[in-house]
Order: sequence, then C-alpha cells, then structure tokens
Amino acid sequence: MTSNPENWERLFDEVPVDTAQDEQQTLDVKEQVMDAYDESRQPVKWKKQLSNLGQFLMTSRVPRYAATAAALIVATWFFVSLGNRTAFAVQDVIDTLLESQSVSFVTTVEMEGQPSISLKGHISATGQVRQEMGFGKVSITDFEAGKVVVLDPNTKTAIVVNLTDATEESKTQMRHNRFTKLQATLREARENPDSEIEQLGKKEIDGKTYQGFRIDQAGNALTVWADPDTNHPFLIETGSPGPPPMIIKMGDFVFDQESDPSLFDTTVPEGYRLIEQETSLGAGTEASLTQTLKMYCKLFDDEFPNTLSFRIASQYTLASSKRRVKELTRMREAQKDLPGAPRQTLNPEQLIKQATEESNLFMEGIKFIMMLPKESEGHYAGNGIRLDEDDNQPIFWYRPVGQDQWRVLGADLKFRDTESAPEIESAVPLLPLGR
Amino acid sequence: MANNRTVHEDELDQWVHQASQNRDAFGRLFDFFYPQIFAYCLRRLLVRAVAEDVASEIFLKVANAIHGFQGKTVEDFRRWIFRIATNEINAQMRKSIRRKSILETAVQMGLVGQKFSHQVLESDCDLRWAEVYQAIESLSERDQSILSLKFFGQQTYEEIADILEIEPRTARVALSRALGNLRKQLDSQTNGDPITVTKGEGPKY
Repeated sequence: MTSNPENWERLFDEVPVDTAQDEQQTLDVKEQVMDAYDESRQPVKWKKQLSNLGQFLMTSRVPRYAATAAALIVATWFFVSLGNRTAFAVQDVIDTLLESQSVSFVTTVEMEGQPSISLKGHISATGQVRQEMGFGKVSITDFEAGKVVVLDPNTKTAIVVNLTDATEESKTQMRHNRFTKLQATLREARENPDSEIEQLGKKEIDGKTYQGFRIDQAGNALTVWADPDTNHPFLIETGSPGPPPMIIKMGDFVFDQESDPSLFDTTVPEGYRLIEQETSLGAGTEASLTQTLKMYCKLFDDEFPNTLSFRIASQYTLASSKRRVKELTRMREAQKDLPGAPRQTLNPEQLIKQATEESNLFMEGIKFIMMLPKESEGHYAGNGIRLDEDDNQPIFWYRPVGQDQWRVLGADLKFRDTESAPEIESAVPLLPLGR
Repeated sequence: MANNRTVHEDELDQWVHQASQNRDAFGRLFDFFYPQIFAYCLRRLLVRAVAEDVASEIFLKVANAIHGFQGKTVEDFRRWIFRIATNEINAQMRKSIRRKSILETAVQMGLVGQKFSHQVLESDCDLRWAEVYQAIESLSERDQSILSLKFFGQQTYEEIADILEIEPRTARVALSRALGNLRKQLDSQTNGDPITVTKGEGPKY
C-alpha cells in the first residue's frame, strides 16, 4: 500500500456517508445552541487559574527551621510556575496585570488550629521576587543571578540557594515574558469551553462594592473579588484541603509601584552565618519521577498522591520535616535515660541541609512533570492507587516528543512502552508549562 | 442558510468579530460552520445519530464560550472550533465500548460492509470500510487526530498545524507517519483476522 497522501485523500473522498444534514434536525440544534448563547451572554469577565498557593507554606510554624528551608525550593518553583502558567485569573484584571511592570501583595495563610500568618510579596519589573515572612525574615529570588536568599535577622542566618542548570532561554522567559505568558494562558483558559465559572455577583467589603467569581479547578476552589471600576483584584481566596486544611488570602495589591532596588539585593549582610545550598533548574527525568513517587509512598503508607503538582511537594516537605523533628525529639528523650551517652541535639543547620537536600530530590520528579511539553499529553491516574497494588495498573503516561510509543508508569514504578495511551476514566491531564 | 451563498472572508471576519456580543452574527457563524463540522463528525463517526449528538455538543460548547473568545478572524474561529471538534470526537472514541458499538452499528446499518478496491492499496486486495475504520481506531489519539483533520475535516497542513499547535512541517511529517502506521495496521489486519460483518452489504447511506 502507499503512503502518498493524495491517494489516501481520494480513498477517503469515497467514505460511504451522505453528509447532507437533516434540515429539521439542524434547526433544532440551532435553537438549542442559540438558547445556550443567550444564557451565557453575561460577559464572563473573570477567569481562571491560580497556582496552588500552598507553596506559601514556607511560613508554616512547623517545624520552623526545616520547613522554611525545604519549602524554599517549592517556593522557587512556584515562582517559576508563576512566570509560565498562572496567576490571578480575571480577564479585565489580567489586562491590568499585563500592563503592569511590577506588583506587590499581601498573603495571609489561615491554618486549622494555628494563628494566621501574613507575608508580603513583591515582584519587580525585572522578575525578582521578594517575600517578607514575618519576624523580619525575608526571601529574595533572583533568577537572573541564579540565586535565592533567605535572611533571618533573629538568628543572623542567611540561607543561599544557588540555582544551577538554568538556561539562557528560561532566564529570559522568566525575566521578560512573565506577564505575556500569563496573558496567553488566560486567553487559552478563557476560550476553553470546559472552563467552569460561577458568578458571585456583588459584595460590599469595607464600604466598597466588589465583583466576585468562583472557579473550581481540579478540586481547587478559587474566589476572586475585584474592583469593577479599576479592574484591580482586591481579594483572592483559595484553599488547600491539606493536611492541614488551610485558607489562603491574597490582597493589598499594588501595581507599578516604583521598586527600591535594595529590596531585591541578594548580598548577604555582614555578620550573618552563611548556609549555602545548590538546586538544579534542569528538567528532571523519568527516573527522578520514579524516585519522587517512591519517596512519597514511603512517607504516606504506600499510597500514591491524589495529584501530581506542587501541592504534593509542600505536603511532602511539611510531613517529612515534621517526622524528622519528631524522630530527633524522640531520640533526645530516649537519651535522657542513658547517662554518659552523647546528646543528640536539634541542630538547625543540619536540619536545613537535610531538608533542603531531600526537598531538592523530591522536586526533581515534579520538575519532570512540570516541564513535559503539551504534545506529550501527560496524564496521571494514581489517585487512590497503592504502590505495587497491581503491576499493570498505569498511574502515569506520556509520549516523548517525536515518538509514536507511549511511556507508561505502572503501580510497580516501572516504565513500559505501549502503542497507545491507557484508557482510564479517572486520568487527569497534566497541564504543561505553556511553553 | 448562510452557507448556501458565497460568503466573503471579510464578512466572515466581521461575524467572528461581532459574535461575542451579537446574536445574529453568532447565528450566521452557526449556519456557516455547522455543515462543515457535522460532515467532519459524520465522516469520522459514521453513525448519523452519534455525529448529530457530537456536533450539537460542539456548538453548545462554542455558544457557552464565545463571549470569552478573543479571535478576530474566521481563521481564528475555524482553528478554535476544529480543535473543540477534534477533542470531542476523540473523547467519543476514547472508550473502547463506545468505539466498538459505533463500528458495529455502522456495520449493521450496512454503511461500511462493502468491499472496495482502490489505488491506495496498490494491490488486488479488497478491503471493507469497516477494516479501514477499525485500523484508524487502533492508532494513537494523535495519529487519529491528524488523519481525521486531514481526511474527514478536509483541513490543509497549515490549518492542521494551527489546530494542533504544531509547525506545518511537523504536521506533514506527522501525517506521513500516521499513514505509515495506518498502512501497517491494515496490512496486519488483511493478513490476520478480518472484522466480523454481522450484516451483509447495504445501500450507500
């Protein structure tokens, strides 16, 4: 047989169907469609997509040293993500955002059983990010300089994470195209007929009327209240089911404020104790994904995560840090009964180092997922599946660029080649980074 | 309906531009595009009732999302609606039970039982349409999308590239590869177990 498209075209011209439509049926469809048009006529002003703000967990109280350092890596990736695919989600508000060169806002995290925590974030015109985390603690992310710095004036400690393997392209994208990409992503979302949005109408807050909408996306609810006059977001609320469950609010947005360059200075002040780490911005591999899932299963009783996203990174980081502190505390308690034994102490530097290394390792697999191109059609179906439950149970699959075969990861954490993608109803498409 | 007369591209662009706010313009776009989309669905899905349902679903989605559509030209709209249509068809065919049922129904209705011989075969081997469709359905979703857009949706390489967000050159290569895969599949089918045709040849539908 031939592969000549023209011959095939002649063949398919003879497909044995009469494509003339039934006039009455067409009129019926048109009536339904026009009804749907009328019903949806309220302009959808507000749209979509906010990355899981659980990444702001870096401010979590538990356990402070380890969680701060480890979640730093997650936060770094949150901002990479912000530059590529996310953010506030409101068509008109987004237009404002797109025209903005810089933005600052306050985030409040409310966690069950704990006092709320607030932090202030600034994004400069050149893409640097500063977060003020309370108690004077500050983190500054500068992708151009390839550096994340966390300064704690209370302990006079500076954690410096050097970002390696960043390409010129990725740095340029992060620096210049943050908002352009955001616009492209939001336009795509707005044009996606499957996007669901609930208009919340108007609400008075502090004597002023705001317009609201709510989006449920992959189980994450997002509520936005914005000023209808200025199109500026006033309050964005989201949450995470946890554990622990939390509510995250973003507000006090200020756009195009002239930034003080010293806010983004990554120079470590004199007199600070320096803890230096490295983290790769490379794309990750299949092996790193396998490793990440193995680590997750080990920590969470052999159950695969319900999603493959940043959320599990912060979930893992917190749980892992808690467990580490718990183990060390137990060890120290046990040593009380052993006179003369060397005393095991909670060394902050050691904890930070361990947690950062572990978090780095875990993030490698997440990076692999985040960097998958759209045409790879990555899917995840591990929700509710246990490790080794069934070797043939696919939990993740994608098609490497330029290849016909699919790479399918089973519940035994082994990749296999298949001719076609698995057909699993509960599978969730993995969002590409919009590159 | 609008498609019964020549519609200039400028006029189509104007409808697209107005469609988010203007009911009449949206209705005209429906009139223009429905026959194309219905034909695309029917040629791919074979069974008229299924194609009608899917085409209806596609236009309902378009109606629900048109207010946020930012395209300015008819090409933008065409790209958008064919992308939605391709996704809907793929979703319809993704379930093996549904796939089987569609093909069986088509066979029973006498649509695809006929034998034919065609230059494409470059041999004396006769095929039935049922075998061709079965072979298509065994391909990857990406291959199916490319073949569908080219042969059932009558789209050019440039249009396919736009719809699938790939380079035109990649679209050509991908089509060639998909045809290679289809040919291999047909070869293996014709040398192996033929599809069971439960009803004899029927009239051309």
